Amino acid sequence: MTDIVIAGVSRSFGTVRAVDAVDLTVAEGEFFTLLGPSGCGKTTLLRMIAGFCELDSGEIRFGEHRIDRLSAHRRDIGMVFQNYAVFPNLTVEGNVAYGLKARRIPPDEAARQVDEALALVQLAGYGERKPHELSGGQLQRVAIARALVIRPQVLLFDEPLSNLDARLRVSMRAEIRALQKSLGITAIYVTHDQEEAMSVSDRIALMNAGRLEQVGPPAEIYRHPASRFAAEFMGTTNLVKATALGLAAPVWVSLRPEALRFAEEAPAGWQRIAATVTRIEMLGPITRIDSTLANGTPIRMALLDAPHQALAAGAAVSLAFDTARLTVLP
Amino acid sequence: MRLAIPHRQRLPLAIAALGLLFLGVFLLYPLANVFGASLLDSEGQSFTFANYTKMLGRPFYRAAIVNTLGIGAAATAITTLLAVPLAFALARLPIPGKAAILALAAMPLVLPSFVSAYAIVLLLGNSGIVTAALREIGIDIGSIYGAGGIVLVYTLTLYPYVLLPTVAAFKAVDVSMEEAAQGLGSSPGRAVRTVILPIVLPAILAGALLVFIETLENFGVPFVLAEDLPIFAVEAFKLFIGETAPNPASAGVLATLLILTTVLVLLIQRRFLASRRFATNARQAPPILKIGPAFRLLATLYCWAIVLLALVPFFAIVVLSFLEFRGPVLHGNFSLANFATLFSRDLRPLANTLAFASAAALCVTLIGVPVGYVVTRYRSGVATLLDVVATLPFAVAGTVLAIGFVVSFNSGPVILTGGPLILVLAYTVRKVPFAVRSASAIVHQIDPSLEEASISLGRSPLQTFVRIVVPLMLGGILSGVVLTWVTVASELSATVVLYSGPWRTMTVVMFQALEGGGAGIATAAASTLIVVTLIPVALLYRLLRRYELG
Amino acid sequence: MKISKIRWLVTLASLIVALGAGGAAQAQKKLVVYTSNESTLNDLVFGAFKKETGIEVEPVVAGSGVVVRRLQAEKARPLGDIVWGVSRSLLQTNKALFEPYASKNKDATPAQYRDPDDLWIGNNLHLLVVLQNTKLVPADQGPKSWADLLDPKWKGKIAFTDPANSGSAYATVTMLVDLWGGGDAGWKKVGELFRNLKVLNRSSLVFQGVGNGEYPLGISLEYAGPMWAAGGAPVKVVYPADGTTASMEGVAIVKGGPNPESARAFVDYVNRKDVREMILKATFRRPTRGDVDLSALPGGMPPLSAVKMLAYDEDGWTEKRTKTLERIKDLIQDSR
Repeated sequence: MTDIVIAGVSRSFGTVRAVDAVDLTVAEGEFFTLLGPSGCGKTTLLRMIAGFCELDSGEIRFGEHRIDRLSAHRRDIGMVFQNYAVFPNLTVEGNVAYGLKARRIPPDEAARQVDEALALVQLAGYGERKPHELSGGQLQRVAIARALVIRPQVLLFDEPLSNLDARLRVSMRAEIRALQKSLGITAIYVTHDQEEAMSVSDRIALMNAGRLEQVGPPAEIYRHPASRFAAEFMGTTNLVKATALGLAAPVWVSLRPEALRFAEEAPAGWQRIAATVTRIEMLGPITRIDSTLANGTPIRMALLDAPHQALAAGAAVSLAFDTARLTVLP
Repeated sequence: MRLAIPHRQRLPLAIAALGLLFLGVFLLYPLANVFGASLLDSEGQSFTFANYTKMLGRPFYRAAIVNTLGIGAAATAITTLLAVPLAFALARLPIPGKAAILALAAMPLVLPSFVSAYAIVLLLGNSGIVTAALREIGIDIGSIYGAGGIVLVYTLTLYPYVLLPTVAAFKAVDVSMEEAAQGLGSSPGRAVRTVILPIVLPAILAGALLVFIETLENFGVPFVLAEDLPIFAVEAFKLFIGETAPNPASAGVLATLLILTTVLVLLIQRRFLASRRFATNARQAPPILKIGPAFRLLATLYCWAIVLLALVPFFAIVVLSFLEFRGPVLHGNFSLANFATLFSRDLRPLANTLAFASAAALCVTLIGVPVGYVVTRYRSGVATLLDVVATLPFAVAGTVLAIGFVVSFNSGPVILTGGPLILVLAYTVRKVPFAVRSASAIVHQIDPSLEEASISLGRSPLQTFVRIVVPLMLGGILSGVVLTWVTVASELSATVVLYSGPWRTMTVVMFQALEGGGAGIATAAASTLIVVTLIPVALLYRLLRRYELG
Repeated sequence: MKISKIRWLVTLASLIVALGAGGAAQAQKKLVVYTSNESTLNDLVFGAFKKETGIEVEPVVAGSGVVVRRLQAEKARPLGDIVWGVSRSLLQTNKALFEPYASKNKDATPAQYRDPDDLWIGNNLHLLVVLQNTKLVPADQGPKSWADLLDPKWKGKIAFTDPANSGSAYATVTMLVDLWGGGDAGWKKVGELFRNLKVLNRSSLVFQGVGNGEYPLGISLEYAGPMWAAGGAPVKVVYPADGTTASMEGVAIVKGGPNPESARAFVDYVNRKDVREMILKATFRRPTRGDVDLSALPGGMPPLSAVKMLAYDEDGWTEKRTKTLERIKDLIQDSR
């Protein structure tokens, strides 16, 4: 419902520049993710938006309203925390109704909205329970319902899935995105998991050492990383000198493992390189094959599962790739 | 920008400012009046450190420092070693009569330490009842006088300071942390060591700190048991109000050193805790562990033995109060004469004690809980200052504070002497550290993101504090209230200087009776105080239990 | 929420008001007495005083050090009317705080026990004596004199009070310095005595200690002996053959106190002959006035003429007190 503008925002802790002159615009209704390794400043930036951390300089606006000097409780945001932060002294219902009471919604209306929100996160009928009776996934649903029910201008997610197990993570992230889209609330999501980021986001801001490394839709960042850091952080890649791949240009390039094939299966016109297999890793749907080029450069390749019966470590193979899938890096 | 202060800092700064204002007026100002003397030369004119070099140059006072610190360290170590397993057992093991143990554990604090010391001498002194009985069967327990006896009495009377917050902390440990540790292949013992202990450490340290500082400040016990072993607080007391030669300069020196020691210990503790912050947010009371019958018996014996041992002076006083005293001399016959004499006087002191203890407990809680919250949550210079100032009263002997009060509030803009308010204020200042420490220990265990969640949902920091933080702190707050109530009811050193006219308390009655020829009246008064104190303590524990179950 | 918050504040405010107001309430005829006497004596005298005069006494009871510190602290706005039961030297050194009044019993009290300007008047005398627990030391095997206490067999068996906290203990030490030759010679012998002493922190611990059998001997005040003996404890008073001295306690009117009339009535009352006899019967305080016949009263206290009294320069020793106390502290430390 609101776009978010972050303009020239900086914050230092001692000598460390946690957030360094960040400019960002998040569009209305967008699902926007701050992605990066721990300590990159993504959580600090999120906490600045929430009002839990002061800005040294710059400003943050929700639509026309500058909010960075507003008290946190007046910013009209819904926030979901990594450790759920469900109030242990209240029931599920009490938790979800908490923000409504703060907004002085009449009890009847509040009760109706609470039921609706609980239904939305598939916890209908759990209202009377106490938090300690719930599982981690259920607690996070309560937290999400609690944040949604107040219809905030902006939803903030601080690594909401990192305390859940792998399977639940995958289903929850789809649910979160679906909820956000159906309500149309602008969302900023913080994670260090690039797969999760790509799965949920409209756009991703990749952060490193307090700065924005690259901002764009997931596919763009994945396929066209703007830097070596971006290339390496977004999944695995082969980061090599172009000359090692038999090309003339003296530049660093990124070549994704899945862009490689065995030469005999590749179309004509693809660049071919000779390699020796060093390791084969069967992961179910895909198989990873690590090999070494003649000049000693390691190359990783990922193939959809196909029986390559003869292949074993030490085998000499010919690999091929489409030069169009190379990304030249600065 | 309307205010230069970031909005996030406003609530803590407001609390800190109010706290510092209160403590500035009712602690620092009176103390400055008292200690100013230590930095002035003998004419009271110019500034000098000569009093310090002179005092520290004398072996007698150096010995006093060494004895005091040694006794304090030993008592703190033993108390902690006894109380932590006891707290764990009460929080996590199937011990019969837990509620009773917890209620009984607070009881030693009801008895003023000079009364405990009196009872200990009657039991274990050179001609004590127990000493004589043991001598009959050929056992010589040695002398109760000296460092050993003092450590013994401290251990028996001060262990609740460690026990009560630690029990609360053990109960506040998130079960999932423990399960996580065991899931990672830790043995239960290792889980206790590596997961639970670090979480309860702030509470243990807070309690141990109280014990240590109390041993530095207390003079009731060494007064009776030290014989001629020089002890810091006793010497400071004598120098302040010694009958023969009050020497404010020298007394100021000792009192200042006492305070500096406390500040140092506090800063060390704060630094130590700063690098170890643990939070947990589930309030699911951890389950009672299943243990074998032999271990269970052992644990039960351990708990009851400590609690009952600590209550021996207590029982002794109750028994004595029903025996016949002729003047100061004890005779072995049953008699109700002590009570008859006591109740034939007016009962005003009893009412005073109850009213003062309640008023002080209320004030202490209203000041101590917010302050404890701020000093734990906000690690700024102001918070550290507040923490140190709010813990200072512990290092200030009651007598010293009381003299400061009389000097400061008998004239000028605020006149308080002669009324009861001065007593309530003195108690409040003296006991604020209790509430701050116990609140702080619990805040250490509350996940800050709970507060952020509440704020993000539209509650102001103040509303968040009231609606989320306070309910989560309730266990800690209530145990702080109990400690305050009980220790105010047994306060003597400030009371005896500040009370006037009709505002005598029960401890004053006991003290005067014991000093004069009325040991019988003193024991009857102590017994009465015990019974009357038991009631609110029991009620509070009931409340506490309901809260924990509900 | 709002309402309960307000209710809290109202409760708190009314509590504070109630507590504050209590101090201002004034009874009709009353008297505030700062006393360092024990409660038995206080209760006896205040009760009888009220019965006779209708004046209600509000006692503030504390050690004489505390009492005097409090008087000094309240100098600008005195809250007490009377200071009672403090030693001659404290009365002397705090004369500035007192109001002169010529007691009706002035003439019955020897001049040495009252201030020439009537700023204070002495009530009773404490002879410095040795208490002996006859269960631990048979009556005839105890010391007969101060000199006897130097015998190494008493090492650790004699309880004494730290002179820093007890005027009578200070008087004892300084009297013995003079008795044993004065100057360094006297101090050397006192040092020997200290090797035998247990120096306790409070004078009440000494007589409690002897009475309860914690210590066989104690250097204490005369009244404690008959008081414990009357209660049935095996305690005997030894009047040292080599002489002793008396330490006086008295009463004074606080300058600018709230109830001056009642204060004067109390000063007259407390030294009346019949009142002194009543006090002696119950608490064995030897009166300053010379016209009380001790042999007719309980306690078996000998008349002053039967006790060898030493000349004691109280004012001189009071003047040298700070230095002397430091010397005693060092002496104690050296003798441990």
